[in-house]
Amino acid sequence: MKLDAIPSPDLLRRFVATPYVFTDNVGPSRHSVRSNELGIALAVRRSWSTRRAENLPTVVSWHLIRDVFAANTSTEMTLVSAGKLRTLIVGTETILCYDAQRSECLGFVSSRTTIPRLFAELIPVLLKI
Amino acid sequence: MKSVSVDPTILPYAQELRFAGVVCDLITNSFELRVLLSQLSHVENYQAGNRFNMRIVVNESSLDPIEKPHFRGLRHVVTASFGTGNIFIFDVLRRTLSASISRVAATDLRFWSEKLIPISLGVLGAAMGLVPIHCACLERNGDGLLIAGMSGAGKSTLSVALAQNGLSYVSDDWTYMSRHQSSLVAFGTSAPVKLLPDATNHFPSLANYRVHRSMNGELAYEVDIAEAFTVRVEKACEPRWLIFLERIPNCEVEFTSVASSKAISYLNSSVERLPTELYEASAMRDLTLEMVSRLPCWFLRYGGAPQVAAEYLVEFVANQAREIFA
Repeated sequence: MKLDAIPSPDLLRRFVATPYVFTDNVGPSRHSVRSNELGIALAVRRSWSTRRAENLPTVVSWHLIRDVFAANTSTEMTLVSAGKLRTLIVGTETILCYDAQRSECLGFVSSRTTIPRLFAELIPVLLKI
Repeated sequence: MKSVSVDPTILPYAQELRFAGVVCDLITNSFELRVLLSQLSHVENYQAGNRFNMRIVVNESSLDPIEKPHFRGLRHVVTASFGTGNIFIFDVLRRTLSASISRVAATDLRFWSEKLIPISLGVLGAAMGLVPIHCACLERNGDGLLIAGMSGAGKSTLSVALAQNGLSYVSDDWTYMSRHQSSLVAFGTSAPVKLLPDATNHFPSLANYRVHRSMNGELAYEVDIAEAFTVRVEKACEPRWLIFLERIPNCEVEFTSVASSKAISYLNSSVERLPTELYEASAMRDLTLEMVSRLPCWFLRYGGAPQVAAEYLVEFVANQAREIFA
């Protein structure tokens, strides 16, 4: 047993590298997106210009991970609203959280969830008040 | 789509619970769950200063089973799903667990004692100065012996052997460390001891129990140590010594002292990394880990039966205790 040879675990996959980062000033706020998939990061950036028209709350910080390790289970959708935090779970593998106080949208997107579905269906459900 | 609102103002049942030195404010719509969790609440001598919220909505009509867990976390949010009907959301910044669960999960005492309470303390503990450390803990006269080691090093078998040799059992796998004023306190959670199937070689009475598939997928005996081995169990103690355990075939029992710089390096690398959003929690944890690393540390290498190593360790603890109080 070597006491200094053990890497820190990341059991929750919190530290997946997110090389695709965009930031932009939208009105008075500085928006940012980080993802490990270029398609997701680009889709979020495109949504910054259209979101106001959709009457959805502003999200200034996005952190979305394409989760290739999650096993695809069911398609059942559950929305849990708890104070400032809303969480949308599809099956058990696609998990999206919106923190209204911090204006953050965080999540893991399973390989089965397409980008069009993510932005046309899931994120509007998550952000709709 | 199922929509669940976890609104504490409309959940009728509230209960103050205590686990590992922290207070849990439970609010739920299920009287049954309140009673069940009250059974698991600890009576503690240590003054509990930190609190977290547990807000649970039970779907009384749902019989969704408890399935294999799926954990994920980003920034201050951690989720744990045990199938689609049992969803737990941890908000570390707000020290709150919100959940939507089935009646099956709400009535399963083992699920709460073995999984959900330890998981909740592990995830939210960071925000409350409670640090889960992957080590076993044994106690004698209030003094604690921490036994760290890689998975499979034999922490659990040695813990049972030590408990059979007169030490009290606190935990065999995860121990929760907290700073109370200037001292360090180690807590167990009354989770069952987990022994791999070959442990029957050392503890034949285990054959009376059945092996289960544990949370990490291993087949193991998960038994209540007090019931299975008739030994004493303590909820907390003050850790005095830290042992790093290593099993080496055909090795005699061997103690070697370990520098605290080595110990802190191991401890830092064995805990889950925290995101930058939790910088206060991270700083509190660093202080606690530093205190643990300053305990007198040794390597214990052995290759025989755990009972033999346990005899050496009991004698070692007795000698060390004499030195402290001499």
